[in-house]
Amino acid sequence: MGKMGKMAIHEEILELLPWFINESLGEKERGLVLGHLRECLECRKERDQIQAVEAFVRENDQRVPDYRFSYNKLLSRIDDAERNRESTAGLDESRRPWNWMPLAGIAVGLVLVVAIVGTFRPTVVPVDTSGFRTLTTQTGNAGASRRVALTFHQPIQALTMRQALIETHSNIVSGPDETGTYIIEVEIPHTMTSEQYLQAMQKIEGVQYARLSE
Amino acid sequence: MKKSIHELKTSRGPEDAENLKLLQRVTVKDKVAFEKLYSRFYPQLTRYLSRLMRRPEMVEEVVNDTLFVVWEKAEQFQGRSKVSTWITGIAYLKGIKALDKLRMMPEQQAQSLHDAEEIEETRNLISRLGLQDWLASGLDQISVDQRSVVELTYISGYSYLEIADIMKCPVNTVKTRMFHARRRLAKLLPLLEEQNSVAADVDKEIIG
Repeated sequence: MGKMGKMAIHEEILELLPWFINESLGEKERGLVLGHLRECLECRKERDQIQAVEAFVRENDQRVPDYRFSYNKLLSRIDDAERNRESTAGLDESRRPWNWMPLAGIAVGLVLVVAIVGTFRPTVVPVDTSGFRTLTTQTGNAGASRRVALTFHQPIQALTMRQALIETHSNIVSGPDETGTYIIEVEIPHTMTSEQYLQAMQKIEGVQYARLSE
Repeated sequence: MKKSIHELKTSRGPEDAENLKLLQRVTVKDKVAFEKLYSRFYPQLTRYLSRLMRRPEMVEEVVNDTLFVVWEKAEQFQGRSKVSTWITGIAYLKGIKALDKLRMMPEQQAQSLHDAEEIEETRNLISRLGLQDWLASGLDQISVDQRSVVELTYISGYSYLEIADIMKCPVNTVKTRMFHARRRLAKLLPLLEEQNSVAADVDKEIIG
């Protein structure tokens, strides 16, 4: 073998040494390295140096804490992801029939009521309505009407709370009590079980907890 | 035609066979199997990512990001490598992404150091930190990818082919990264030995 050929093998062996030391080379490469080491002082020195570095790396290997604490964190994340998927699917289903049909019904109903009242009332007393806001009222076609105890994160901004009530198409029946819980009335759509609905409610911003009320 | 994970078998040793069985159970959302797989990989991923990232506060999150992907995408494992290689590959990508977010760019930092400065800095570090921290400081002075190769070779015992698979790069790149890492670490070694002998002399005097 020429000088160039020997040099190329020497370079190749130098590169392979770390994997010779960790014993992951195939039979053929391992034989090649062993043969070269016998006749090459430079490679033997290099091998010793790599072994010293490897020993340091291993000796200073850090202690790893018990896995359970981190595992429990991941489990919560997995549970959250699963709940999110379920509630997203549930809300998508439930929103379809709710979005426009009931609102259109309410609008038509209100126009009719105003027209009838306007026709038959002799005098109209002007009322300052600037301080009032009417919450969305649910029509009866969505499903069973249930009362739900709804607890908000504290402190909560009025805007966030109002948005939560609008999103759930609910009306406040009573509250808040000393724990900040309101009793609201909602129409649970036929496409969802109560449990699914409550889970979906708990995903709404500002809502801490939702359960069916007696 | 692509095989389903449930049709896969491995001839890569009993450890890989056990990992594959667990992974197959994870595809059907078996949490007992997942916990077992988690407990098997948690120590090695923690060590690997600690050295790769040098950011202890981020390691747990990246380990969990990695194993969350395993939980969600277990059915995508195609058996082209060992299960451990596949999972370590995910950890590597997650670790690199997390570092990218921090805009740390360790590759550039590592390569911008001049040799003279490096030696002087190392001398200072060894005297300041002591031997226990030498390794950490030494590994700080090589790039993320070089650290990854060192860790996967010396601690995890992977072959260069497996490391190329994990890091999604050619085999020659793995060898080159190892070569540069060795060169830098070798420069630190004589300083360490010097420090060792000074410490031994001091011990002799004290015991004396």
